[in-house]
Amino acid sequence: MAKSNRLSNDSISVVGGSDLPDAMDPTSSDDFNMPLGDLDRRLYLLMKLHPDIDLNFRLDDLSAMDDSTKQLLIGDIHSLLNVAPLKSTVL
Amino acid sequence: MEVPKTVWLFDCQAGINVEAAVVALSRESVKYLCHDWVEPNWWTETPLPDEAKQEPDYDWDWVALLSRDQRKPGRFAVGLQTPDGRLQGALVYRVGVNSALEPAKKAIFVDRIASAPANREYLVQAPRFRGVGNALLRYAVAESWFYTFGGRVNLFPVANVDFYLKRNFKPTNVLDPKTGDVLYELSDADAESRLRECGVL
Repeated sequence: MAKSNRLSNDSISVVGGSDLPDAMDPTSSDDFNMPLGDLDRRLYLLMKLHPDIDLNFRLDDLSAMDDSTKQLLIGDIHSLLNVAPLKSTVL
Repeated sequence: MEVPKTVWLFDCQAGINVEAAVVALSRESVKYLCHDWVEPNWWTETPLPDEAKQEPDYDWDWVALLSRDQRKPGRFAVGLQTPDGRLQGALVYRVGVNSALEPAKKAIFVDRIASAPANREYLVQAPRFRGVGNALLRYAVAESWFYTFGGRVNLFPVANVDFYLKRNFKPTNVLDPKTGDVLYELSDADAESRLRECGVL
């Protein structure tokens, strides 16, 4: 079925539906050990994806931390990598 | 640092900016975005012209999309929820794809963005909210900043290429292998400028 191309010049109504080439997308593999909690998952990805973080990391380490420790670790990583904090609470 | 879980939308009826919450989407909650899972849904809650069935996302199966991604740690789906509980937009994105402009670096791929049909000014006489897609795109850029990708974001525009060019997205040499669609990317420098302009940085 032909689809509409009528999109406003000043807004984004719809984006996507096309496929990235596999070679560009390392996110396509299933990981049955992935952390399920939102904060754990974010920290896990942050450590796993950044080439400058050389950390021997185990999922067990995450489950042993409380949330404030995880937030501190995220802050340390950002500080180490010179990532300026976002200063607004609303985007 | 955390990425804000609240965005500004413009309430067209009240004429003011209002806050909407960024919420994680589940396979259950996205049934509301599909035209054939539950009633009422995005496509039936507001009277829409027949042309709505020609919208690019009318046939998207959001439940299948989220099922596909549920065991992939880098894949996320969020929605914008207003205080009345309604979802005003949805975003599916991937954390950690390769940058097309700087292949040694990482980016966020915006897989899908959709604004509720009731917010599309070309479908309804009185859209409820403006700025839904822009807010979701800002969120994706902020997420890219959080993951240390400098705000780099890439996506396949559906049609309004000029919109992205005006916002410094650059066409790349990466194509959808099936359709030949061109991938566009916002560089880290342009993303940082955008975050500063918005007062987020």
